[in-house]
Amino acid sequence: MKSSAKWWRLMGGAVLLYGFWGYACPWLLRFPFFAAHRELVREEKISAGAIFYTDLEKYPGKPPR
Amino acid sequence: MQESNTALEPKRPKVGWLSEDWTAAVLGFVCFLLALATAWYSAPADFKWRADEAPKGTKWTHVLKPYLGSGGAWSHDPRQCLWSNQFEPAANPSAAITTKAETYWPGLIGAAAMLSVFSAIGAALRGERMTKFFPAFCPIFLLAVLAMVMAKQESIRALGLEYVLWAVLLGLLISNSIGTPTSWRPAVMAELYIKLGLVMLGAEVLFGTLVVYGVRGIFVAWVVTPIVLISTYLFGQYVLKMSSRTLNIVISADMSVCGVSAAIATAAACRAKRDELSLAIGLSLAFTMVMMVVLPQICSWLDLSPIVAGAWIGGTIDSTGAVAAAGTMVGEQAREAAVMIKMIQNTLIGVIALAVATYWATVVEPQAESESDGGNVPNKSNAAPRNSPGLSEIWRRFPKFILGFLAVSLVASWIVEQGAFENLWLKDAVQGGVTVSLRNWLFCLGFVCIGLDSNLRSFLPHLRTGKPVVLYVVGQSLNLVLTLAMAYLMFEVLAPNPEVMDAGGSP
Repeated sequence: MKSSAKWWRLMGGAVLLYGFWGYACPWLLRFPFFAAHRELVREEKISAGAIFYTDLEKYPGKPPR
Repeated sequence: MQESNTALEPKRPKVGWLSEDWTAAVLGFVCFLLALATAWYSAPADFKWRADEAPKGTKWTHVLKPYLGSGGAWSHDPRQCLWSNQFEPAANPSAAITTKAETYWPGLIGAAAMLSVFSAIGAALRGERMTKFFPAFCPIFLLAVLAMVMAKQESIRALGLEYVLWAVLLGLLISNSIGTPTSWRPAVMAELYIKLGLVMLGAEVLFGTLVVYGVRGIFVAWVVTPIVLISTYLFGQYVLKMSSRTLNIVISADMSVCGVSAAIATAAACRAKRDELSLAIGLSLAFTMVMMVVLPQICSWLDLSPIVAGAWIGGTIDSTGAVAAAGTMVGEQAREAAVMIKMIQNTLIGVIALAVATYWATVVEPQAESESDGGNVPNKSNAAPRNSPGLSEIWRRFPKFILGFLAVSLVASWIVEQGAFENLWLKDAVQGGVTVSLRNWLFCLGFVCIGLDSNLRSFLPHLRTGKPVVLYVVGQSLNLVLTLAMAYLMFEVLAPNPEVMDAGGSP
């Protein structure tokens, strides 16, 4: 592959990734279910993507802060 | 563009002093011991061993905590994530996210320094040259930082799309466009980062958590989960006839146990291919995003009691954060129940990883080797009877880093059981200050490297057949039905008026 083609591919991929991250995902939050969910996690300060219970700000059994 | 596509190569030559598995086990355990030891420097003034109760509001902040962070949440200005939350505009409606002024850059610089030192030690033990390692580590860490920044954006956080997704996508973007530069190769060590991260995760897998909900919690989380896992795996093997056993078990585990963390542990235990792990995590995140908003609505339509709804949500939604969010949508009691059930289910990770590693070392790998030695043996009835591998053979195949994971988990579980201050020592200082951050960064680096070592074309065969999606949907449907039945039986029929924290609530 030509060197310039590689960089064009990188730019194209970066635009696609940015579009997915910056537009497609936030667009989902316009739907009523997701919008309500967003308000809730914002108020309760919940990280909805926590991969383990220790990632949560509050969980039962955690020493009081 | 890519060297190999295995998450853990079984026959990797030992180039340094230690194999990769032992490097991860030893380095991870030493790191955990160092975190325990350094916590002493920040012990509370009224520290008292073996006390039944710690004075209310006692804090034990690890001396390294300010220097080991991953940035803060942000909504409009990414400087809030990297630098400080003081850039939050006053008129911003999401200002409620940040309540106190925090500075993040020392945490990021500290994380870079600590991770580079630990990774360099790991690389040195494996025989890599340090002069090439450090320049290679910098761009990979920067990609990991970018993945963290992308994941901490408020909308993305709300959807539960964690850093692992962005890390893989960023790595894929580089490897499938300009190709992973050769100069980066010395630090592209996906296996080592993932295994080290898993050993660190051991500090968070506390077996005392099992008793928080008594027998009912164990039935919902520890009885249904293995049934769903095994049934889904068998469905994939005998009904869908999936060509890859590793993909089958990784999807089954991430769907039935706890999403991303279970997928990582299982993939490492059975040496799944990198694209299989990425695919399983992508599936899990996509379904979790939908389930966390739909399931609370279904609970409301079915008019379930909060505790049954919470147990159902906790047992079925993959990601822990999504469980907390969905449980909160039902109510406070439902959230307590959901998070507790998820915590109990989280502790299954070690058991599942150990069981999968043992099954792969004793059954699957010998079978695959005998098939490859004797040519294709698709028809089981014609296959020659195989001898069971000896203990030394099983030991050779066994992924040793799991021993590091179990050792850390057992020591951490023992410490927590000793008393209130030991509880603070481990949960507040060690987990909160060191191991959780380190684990997240190591997983993030690991997934950047997985992306850098993967080719988008390797995903096509899986996507073309659609079998992974069918497997996930069927397995999750079974999970939903069985968990609801068990939650109803345990919390409605057998104990109609349960207290939420009926076993003390302090794992």
